[in-house]
Amino acid sequence: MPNDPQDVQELFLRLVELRPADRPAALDRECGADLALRQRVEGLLEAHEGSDSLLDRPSNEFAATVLSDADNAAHTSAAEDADEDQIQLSGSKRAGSPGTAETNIREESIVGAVIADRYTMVQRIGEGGMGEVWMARQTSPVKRKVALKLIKMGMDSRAVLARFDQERQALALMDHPNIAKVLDGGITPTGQPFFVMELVNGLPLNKFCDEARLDTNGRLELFVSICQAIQHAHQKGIVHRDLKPANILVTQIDGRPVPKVIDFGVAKATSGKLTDESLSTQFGAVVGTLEYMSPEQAGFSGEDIDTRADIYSLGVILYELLTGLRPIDAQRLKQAALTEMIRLVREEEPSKPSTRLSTDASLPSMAALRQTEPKKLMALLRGELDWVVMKCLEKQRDRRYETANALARDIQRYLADEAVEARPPSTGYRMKKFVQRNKAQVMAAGLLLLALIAGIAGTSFGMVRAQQAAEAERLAKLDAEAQKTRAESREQQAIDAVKRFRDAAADNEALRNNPALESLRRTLLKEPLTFFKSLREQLQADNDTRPEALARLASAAFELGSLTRTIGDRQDALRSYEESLAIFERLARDYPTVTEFQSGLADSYNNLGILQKQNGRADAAEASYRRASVIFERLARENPAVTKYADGLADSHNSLGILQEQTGRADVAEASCGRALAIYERLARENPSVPNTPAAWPTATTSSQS
Amino acid sequence: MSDVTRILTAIERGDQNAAGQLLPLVYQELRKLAAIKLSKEKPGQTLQPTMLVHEAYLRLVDVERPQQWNGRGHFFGAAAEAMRRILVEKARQKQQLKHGGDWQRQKLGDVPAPDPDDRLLALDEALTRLALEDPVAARVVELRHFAGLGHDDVAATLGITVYEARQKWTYARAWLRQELLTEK
Repeated sequence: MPNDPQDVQELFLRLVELRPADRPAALDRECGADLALRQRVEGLLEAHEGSDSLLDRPSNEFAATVLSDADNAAHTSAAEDADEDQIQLSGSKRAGSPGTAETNIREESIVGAVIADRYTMVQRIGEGGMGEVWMARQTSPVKRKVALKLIKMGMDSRAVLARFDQERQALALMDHPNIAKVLDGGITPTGQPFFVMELVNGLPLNKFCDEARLDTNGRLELFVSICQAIQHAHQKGIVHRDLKPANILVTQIDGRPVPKVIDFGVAKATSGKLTDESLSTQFGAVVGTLEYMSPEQAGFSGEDIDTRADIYSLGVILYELLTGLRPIDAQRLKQAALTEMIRLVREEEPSKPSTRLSTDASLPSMAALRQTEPKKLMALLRGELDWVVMKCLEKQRDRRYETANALARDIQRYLADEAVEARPPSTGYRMKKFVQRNKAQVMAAGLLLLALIAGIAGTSFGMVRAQQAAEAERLAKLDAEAQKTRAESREQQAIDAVKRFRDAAADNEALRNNPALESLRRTLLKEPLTFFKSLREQLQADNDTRPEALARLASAAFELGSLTRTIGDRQDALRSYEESLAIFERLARDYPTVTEFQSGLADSYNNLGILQKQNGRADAAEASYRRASVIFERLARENPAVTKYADGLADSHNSLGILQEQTGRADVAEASCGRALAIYERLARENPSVPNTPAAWPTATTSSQS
Repeated sequence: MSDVTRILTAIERGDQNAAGQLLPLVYQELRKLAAIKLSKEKPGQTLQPTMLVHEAYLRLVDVERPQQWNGRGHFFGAAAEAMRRILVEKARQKQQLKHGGDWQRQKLGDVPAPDPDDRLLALDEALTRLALEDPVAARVVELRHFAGLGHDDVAATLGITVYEARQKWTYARAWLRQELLTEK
């Protein structure tokens, strides 16, 4: 006998209010002998306890908070489940830099205010550059106290939310005892973004260590668990971006210090990029953060930020834990002009902890706080701990520890009296650094230019051109041959600069994934497009038939084709590829031993094939892919050490496979994709440090085919 | 005043015929938005329906003129339905193609990646079954899931109390989860 759905629903809703432990008894009572009813309700209760990523996708909950100011969307189930870890606040204050007198909302008017229908503001517990932290009482769907961070007015609320939303799903996946959970986020009726976090009762890391007079080993042990928390977040794909002692609160649990990292996801959502505006409006916040910021974050260049930025910040935190000082003198930072501050972070090599401490007047008190004597503290730091810290603080991120775990392990090695992995930099390396430093200044200026808007970028290309012209005039007095060579190397420099710019604009993650910035991306890409267009015209006009000149023309046409395909007309792109193909074809025939011509030809075939396919010419596309694969195959066989040939071969096999599958030839498609996969797998195995070896892609292709 | 705002005003005045004109307009706009978004998103990323709905609202409705709940509710009701159709349509299409895409030297091409299409289609079917048993519960899911409304707004749209909206959601969610689990 089927149950009345109405009864099932009613009973389910009554029982779901009970604690899980009380439900069986109630089921006995309500259902009696009606086993079918019992089964149905039990099934529902079970399903209720589970989670479903499709339905509970946080973005929906989140969009709800955006949609209406008087909303009360329920929490995600992750938050509901977090009911038991309520942490009470016991009087200690969340740290924050003082001096932000111009708070937007007066405290008295905000106490008791209800935000998003479910957070009642109780008490202000902290204040920082970004805004204020409040203790709030949450009323629905669970009752608990939470920390609510109100972001200062004046930021683009919608952009903040959009960025937060991007990361929200990943944040919900984080579950670590040393990470404070981020529970919610939204916009207040007055338009201020807010974030809701697990409330943590604790002191900022440094304050805790000093008040507890933790010795060096105690500090290192605490630091190891912080590294492990960061590692957990990194594994979930979250970079903190704003690690500093104030964002690590330490609580005592059973007499043992337990660190909790707070504010995950907040920095990414609120900071965006450093801009002139953010520097002037949030001066205090920026300075406070700069001291812990990795060089790649401190700048306008829009470099992508990855987990190694956090490793750098961990290094600064460790530096400070050990010495009480920060690698870059805060006083100097505060006195410096903005650009100088950024230069300090980006370029100045900090002194080793032991060196720094030896010259600092605070040494005795620092030693006392660590329950030791100045001499002993110095001896402790000198050598291995110096090296560990300095490895974190490398300006070049690929020289830092690769993971937070690797850093933690090295410290554990130190604690266990084993040799650490970190080593002092060799003399050769230091020499190289010295040379690089001059270059770095040039590069930094270059990157600044690159990151600026297209108009300015365009001007800079123009400048290169203008300089070229002036140079050419001056060189007119020199003999013709040398003049030509120099002009060509100038031209190559300009081409390289434009290519760098194009790659920066085309591959920039933030630009790629942000629909709002799409038009900016297109504008930025238009500049290199125009450049390659005029370069091609000029080279055509030169009518230079030397092979190297022809190769340059073919390359220009190729680049033009790629850019046109991205932002312009497909037919135009096709024509450009055909042009580069024709030239490379001739070159490859006339100079069969020059591998660059061969690979240029193969690249042209490959890209041409893709366009042909998009234009519905499957047969032509297939022929192009096959030609590309034949050339790459030979190149890869003859030059096994050059990975880009094998990579190209795999790409052409894979494109061919997808084409075959879409034209209904699944059997041959599988063979093609299999060949691609085998190569990708080998490349991934042989080049484990190359992150973008696309080994995962064909796996998806082949497995979903079967 | 935009077309949609005009229709919403008409609905507020009690013109029930106006409601019929709303869906096609919203549907069209959402499709446009979805197409733009899809072309820009990295493969493997899912479309965020509620963000689209929100964007459509900002684009279609005169936000300067505050909408009464009656009108706003209608908008989101239509939007939720439209969004559901679009996503299902898209998922079906993609299932037929299974996946397309190449990649090339500059990695410009799109890359086939696993997507939650199957799950979306299953949800859609389950939702249709739920509507047979409890139409209100199914509407609640549609409004929350596809238009991103909070409980208050769901209640206002459907003319039920917030408490009821919550209850319906709790029930529907468990019902759907069970349905989707037993299907496998």
